[in-house]
Amino acid sequence: MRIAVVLISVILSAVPAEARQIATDLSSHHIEITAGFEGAELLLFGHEANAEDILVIVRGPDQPVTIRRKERFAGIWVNQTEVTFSATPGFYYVAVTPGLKADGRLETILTETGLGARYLGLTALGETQLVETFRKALIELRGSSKLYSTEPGEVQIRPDGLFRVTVPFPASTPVGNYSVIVYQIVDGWPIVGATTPLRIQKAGFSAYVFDLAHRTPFIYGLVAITIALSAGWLGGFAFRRG
Amino acid sequence: MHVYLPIAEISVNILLLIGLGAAVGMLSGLFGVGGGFLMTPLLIFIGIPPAVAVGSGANLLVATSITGVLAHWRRQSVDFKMGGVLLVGGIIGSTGGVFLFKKLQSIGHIDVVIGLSYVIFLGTIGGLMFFESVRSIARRRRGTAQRGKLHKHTWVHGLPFKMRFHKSRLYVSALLPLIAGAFVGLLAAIMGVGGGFIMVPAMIYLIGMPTSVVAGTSLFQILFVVINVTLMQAWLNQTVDVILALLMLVGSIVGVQLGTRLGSKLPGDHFRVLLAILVLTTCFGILFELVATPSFPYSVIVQSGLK
Repeated sequence: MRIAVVLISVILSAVPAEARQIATDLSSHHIEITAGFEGAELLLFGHEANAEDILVIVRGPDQPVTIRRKERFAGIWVNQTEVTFSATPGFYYVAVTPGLKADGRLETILTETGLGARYLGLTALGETQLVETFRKALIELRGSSKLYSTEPGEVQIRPDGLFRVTVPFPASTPVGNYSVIVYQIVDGWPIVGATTPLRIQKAGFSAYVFDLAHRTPFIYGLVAITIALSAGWLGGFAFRRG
Repeated sequence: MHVYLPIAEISVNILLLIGLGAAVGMLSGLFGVGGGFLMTPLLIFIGIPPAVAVGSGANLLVATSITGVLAHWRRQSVDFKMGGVLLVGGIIGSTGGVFLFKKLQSIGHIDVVIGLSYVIFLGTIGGLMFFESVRSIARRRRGTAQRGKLHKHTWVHGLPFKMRFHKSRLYVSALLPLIAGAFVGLLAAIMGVGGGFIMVPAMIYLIGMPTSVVAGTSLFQILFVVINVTLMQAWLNQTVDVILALLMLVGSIVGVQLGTRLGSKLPGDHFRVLLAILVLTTCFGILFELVATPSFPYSVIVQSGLK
């Protein structure tokens, strides 16, 4: 498996809590989805002066999505009910340090701040009593396709404050602008320490085909027909002679 | 080895796609059928979105039908006038079908409609084929063959707008090929099939064409209908994956040759029973998917266009 490793370093400087200065850096600013893309891993690392607990969020581009539910109708399963959410992150990853994980506070923090994947606040278009059920279904589906981390991953942190975390991106990772947010836990509450942008885009031949198909669909159709006609003709020709 | 399909937006094993193409190509070489009716369900089974399976299937059929059309053209076994009338119907039907497809896709019912269409058509065709070939095997064992009437006069010959088709030696209503063509065009747009399995019986039994020009003429109509479907699906719905179609084509070209060679060595009736069983199995597979309680009844559709 081909794994693109992108290093992000987040340096949290050793200044007292009241005047924390944060420097962030990215060794590469984007992940490219090429023809052989099977997912990627991103290594995020940095330094937290007091070796305090850390919470990391990687949030993908917001997308409007429709969730449909199949119900039995005349013996077969048909999409019957749907709820549309105007903006949902296409990717959502959460990781915390072991200290925070062992602590009972984690669930409270994730719930109250809405930072946990299970507690994401999503806005539904229109009013229905079904919104909560459908919101849970969306998170469940994205969790099983590894787009959302319903269970927080682990940030490894050393006593001297150096930390690292590997963020896994599945093959179906959506393209767009991502943000990597590192929170420091101060007095049991997460405070934004550093924010770093990340861009994931299609590249190479597959990106070219996708663009052509969506920007100039009529021309793409003509190209598809021409390719099929010549390939079919060549194939038949080769075998007739052979 | 995986390849990322740009329109289907998933990674699929290259060898799996080539293998599927080869398997379907071999069956179509073996039985002389288009194979679209097996291709689309197989693509759906391996996880290609149904809409992309249908659009790319039509694209693949453009490639697989061109050689057949050229061969029949050389042998002069194409009734171009009849083909033209069928084609007018086919273009109307398939264009309407692509619009219907777009509408069904936006309200979330396209998958079920594709599935149900397959169950109905594969069930009917497979059932008829099965009984017909079993009966003909039995008849051959008994050693008697009944000769039917050469020409029956039915309600079909009372229809208006009669046209003369010299090549087919027919004088029939143009409405028949027009309607048959439109119906097959609709199926091509919604199911990603060429529709030969409907068209050929319709031409022989309904229109009364001589069998010598049936294959060539139906292929001629199918070629232009699938060209129209490919263009319309790509234009309106962006569901044609060229990479997917090309990979399957590679397998298909080889498969067809193998199938044709294998087919010439085996007896016809037993073979049709096999094909019937294959068609019925596919039908039950799709029916099961529609009826079985899904493990998770929810699905996500991202509404974004170009990012």
